[in-house]
Amino acid sequence: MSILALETTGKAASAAYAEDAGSEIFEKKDESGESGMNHLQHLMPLVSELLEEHGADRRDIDCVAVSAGPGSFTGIRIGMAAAKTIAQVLGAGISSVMTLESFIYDEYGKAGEYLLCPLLDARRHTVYAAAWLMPEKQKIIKEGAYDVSEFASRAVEEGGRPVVFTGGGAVKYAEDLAAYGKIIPKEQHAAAVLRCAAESGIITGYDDAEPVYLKKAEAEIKRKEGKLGLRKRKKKEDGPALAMPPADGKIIYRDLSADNADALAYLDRICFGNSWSADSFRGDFEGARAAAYCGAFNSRDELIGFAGLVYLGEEAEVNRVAAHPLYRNRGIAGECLSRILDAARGAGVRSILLEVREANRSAISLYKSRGFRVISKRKNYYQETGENALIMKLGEEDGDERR
Amino acid sequence: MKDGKFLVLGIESSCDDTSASVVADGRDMLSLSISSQIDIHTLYGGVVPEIASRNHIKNINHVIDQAMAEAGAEFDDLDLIGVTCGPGLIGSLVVGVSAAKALAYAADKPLIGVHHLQGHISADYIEYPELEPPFAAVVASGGNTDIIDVRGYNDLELLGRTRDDAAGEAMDKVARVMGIGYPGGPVIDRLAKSGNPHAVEFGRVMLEKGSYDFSFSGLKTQVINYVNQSRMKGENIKKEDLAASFQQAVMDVITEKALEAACEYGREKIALAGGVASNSLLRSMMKDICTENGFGLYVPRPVLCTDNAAMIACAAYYRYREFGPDGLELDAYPVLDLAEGARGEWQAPH
Repeated sequence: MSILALETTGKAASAAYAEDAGSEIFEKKDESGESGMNHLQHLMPLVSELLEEHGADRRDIDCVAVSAGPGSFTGIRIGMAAAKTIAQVLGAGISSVMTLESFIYDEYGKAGEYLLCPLLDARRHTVYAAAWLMPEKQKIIKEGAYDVSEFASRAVEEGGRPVVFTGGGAVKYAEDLAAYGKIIPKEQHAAAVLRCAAESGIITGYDDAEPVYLKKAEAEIKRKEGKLGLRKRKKKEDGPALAMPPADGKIIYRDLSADNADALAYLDRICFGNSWSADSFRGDFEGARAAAYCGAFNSRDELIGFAGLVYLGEEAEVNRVAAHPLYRNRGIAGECLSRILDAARGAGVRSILLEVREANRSAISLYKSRGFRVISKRKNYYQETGENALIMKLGEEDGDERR
Repeated sequence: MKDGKFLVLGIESSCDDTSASVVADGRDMLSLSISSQIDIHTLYGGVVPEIASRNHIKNINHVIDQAMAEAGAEFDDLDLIGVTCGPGLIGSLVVGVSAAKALAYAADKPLIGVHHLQGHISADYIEYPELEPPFAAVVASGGNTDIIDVRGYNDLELLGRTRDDAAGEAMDKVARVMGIGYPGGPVIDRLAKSGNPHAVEFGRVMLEKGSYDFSFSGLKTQVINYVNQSRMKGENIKKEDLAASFQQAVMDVITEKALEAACEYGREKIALAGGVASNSLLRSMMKDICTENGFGLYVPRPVLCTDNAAMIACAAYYRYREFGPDGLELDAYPVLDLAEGARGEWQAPH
């Protein structure tokens, strides 16, 4: 039974092929190294080259194994659409593999008993994770979206043996995990998916394969919680933030919506003087120019910092990054920025632009720390002061901006 | 080939509808399968990209199966796979493009990408087998309001487009403020039939002289302000009148610009396309001015006005005849220039 496996849920797309369930596995990875979003373009050429290199005929494929998620939503769908359609055309079966499970078919160079915990980043200090007793391959914590620290301590407690963390989430949250176990960095890849399919052996028709997201779409959650705001638009939900910071020092981050427009305008005026109106913020949340805004709130639920970007097709532009003067140097603006950048990546944005005053050193170094680089300078850009602006960009190293 | 005919399978998933269709020799629609998500998105008052994407992946293979079965064709009979590769919602486009690429590879058939708007214009070719370029086209939908000079099948010039809201989008938003449901276009059309189009005189935004661009956001704001003011004053608005007045203002602008463009570019035919082409006022106004001024008018049946794969298959056919296939590297392009897309220049040179 010849198997073709596809993996597009992680950073690099890959495809693998084996003539039979037990025979040698050949794998081909996308080496272009771009961050995640070129899977669509590269997957089929990868498959085509792989089969050609090994003299395999596409018509002989009996089973298409696919990494079903969790992972990047768009990535999951690229692989799933391809796998289902190949199976549909060739009359082949499909073996839908949980991405986390495929990790237990990888090599960790570790003898003896241990608990294997593949972790995939789900953003905001959460991971998609599960745990298996090794070498028995017995699952003791089921797949789900967990808080990193909570999961780690649970793994130690329930595993009762040394813990190995792997996957992109383990790398990202290495600091938090170090105290709980060892980190062996591995990424999901097609050969492990193929091995998993070959061993678990569940083959269905292409119609039965479904993506595994482990997370509902945000709009769906909001609608079920009655927070979609279709009818009423509450005004001034978030009051002004000028009083001294509460003693507890607590900061809560959450996504902002049009309902926060008044608070945004208020804080914007405090931070920048020449501020934007509540209506201009509201406009960002409407229609095709949809935006991602993250806000920081203190324990009195006052808006004390925010970062926002608007989507422009596959590009995004950072509008504003701000922190209330009484709350500076706490990394608030940086955290808000990180969150909207994550959101933009999650939305499939390829590059993110922003402009910044040349004299604003602290902002420039913040942006640089998040991977932005200066791509051009605009002289006398700011009318009021005649200062120069720097244009900074994140993503798409080669400057291949598509139209 | 089947019965000596060139068969194209078209796939469309750029927004919220998943569709597949088999078209023979470019214009003969053998099958059309559309899985609409309208009920789902009605819950949200608009299209939610992540939810649209999730539904595309659920539906795509079934829709392809249905189109193939209805056409009585096997994958082996196909001569070309055409797919919308942009512009549109990236998460949605990706599903159709990935499926199309996989299909082309597995069935060993050529693949070609299609610009969504070129697709919409091609709906007129399916409806009118005798229609040939040149003509002026108006594509108006929830995502577009464009006037296009169609010089050849793949020689398209965008004369004007909306600078903010598309016509259908403005209608959706106004309908939402009026609390009459989603999608706005059909509801407003229906209500307007029993309303007075001159009850409220909204300003027509024509923009600068000689421009074929549109701006409906200002009109939308006028309506929203009117509704809010009436509410504050405690006045009862007659929804029918408001819908009729708003709709009249939208269609006045579209018809006038369409006529101007056809005159300036010396075209004798005007073709409508896109969801708003189903609007009964637009149809009747266009019919009147075309008859009066001696233009031929082309309007596809409503199902071909919506996002559908038959139009994509048709456009794919004409693009393939002139340019040959795209490679398996085809990608999805959420933003895509029309003239370049029609020539298959997916990645614009810098």
